[in-house]
Amino acid sequence: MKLYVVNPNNQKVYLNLTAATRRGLANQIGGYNFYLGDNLYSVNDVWAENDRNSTATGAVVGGVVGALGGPVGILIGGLLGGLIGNGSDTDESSKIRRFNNS
Amino acid sequence: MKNSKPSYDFKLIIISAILVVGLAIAFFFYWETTKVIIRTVLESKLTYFLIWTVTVLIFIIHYLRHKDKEIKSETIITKKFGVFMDNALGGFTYATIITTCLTLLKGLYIQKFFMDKVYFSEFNDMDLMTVFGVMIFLLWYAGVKVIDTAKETYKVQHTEVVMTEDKKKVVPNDNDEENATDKNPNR
Repeated sequence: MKLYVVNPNNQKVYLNLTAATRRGLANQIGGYNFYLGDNLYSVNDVWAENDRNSTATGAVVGGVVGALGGPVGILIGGLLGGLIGNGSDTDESSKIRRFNNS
Repeated sequence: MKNSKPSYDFKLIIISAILVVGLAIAFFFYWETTKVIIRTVLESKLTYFLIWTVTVLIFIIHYLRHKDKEIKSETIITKKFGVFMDNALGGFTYATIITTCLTLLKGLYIQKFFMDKVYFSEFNDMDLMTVFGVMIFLLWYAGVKVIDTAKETYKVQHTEVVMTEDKKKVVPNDNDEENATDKNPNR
């Protein structure tokens, strides 16, 4: 999970911190407002997003590794890799929801 | 505050699925040719050299960028060994895992599909299947970890150091995620 704000140029800027909730983030910073470069933000401007996409990575790596077993191996490897990666993404999603709803 | 945006990158997932299915179809029609290509790749010393070097470099760059920007992120191996061991030397661990897995899989692959060399003469089918399963899983796990680390290394470039209102750097705290709600912020 990565935390980010959208800067005045409409670009995402990632924070070097992570926290479970906005309140947790404020505790780390020691207040609700903070600077990133020269721009002042509030913890309410911070959002969380998935930075891994383990489903896609797992499926592709699974497919490549499964290539050793032929065409069926690619499909099984891709499917299993995607499923395992998806488990990780689901866990990540609940953390993201928790932060974004805080 | 509510955010209804999905956290999945469906575009990437669909592209991955198309890639996997496309690869499977190509292999189905050109299986004999691809078998030889896979053997050549597995027997080439360049494959092992490139995998080892690229993996180690990814982890070292990851360590240096993280160090510069004081990023708090998940550990790669374990926090018990410290940041240097975890980040920088993680590359040696994963590079060795990947190349060793590939070496063992090369033996199994040639023995099973070409039968012109016997690498595991004392192993029965059950042993070979177990070695194959474990190596495939390890290779997948290490491959995913290296790609995740490479993605994170790229993302660190776009990371900024958080500073308080009086412009003091906030140092990432390892214990923030669960315990933070017990403390009171200034405001």
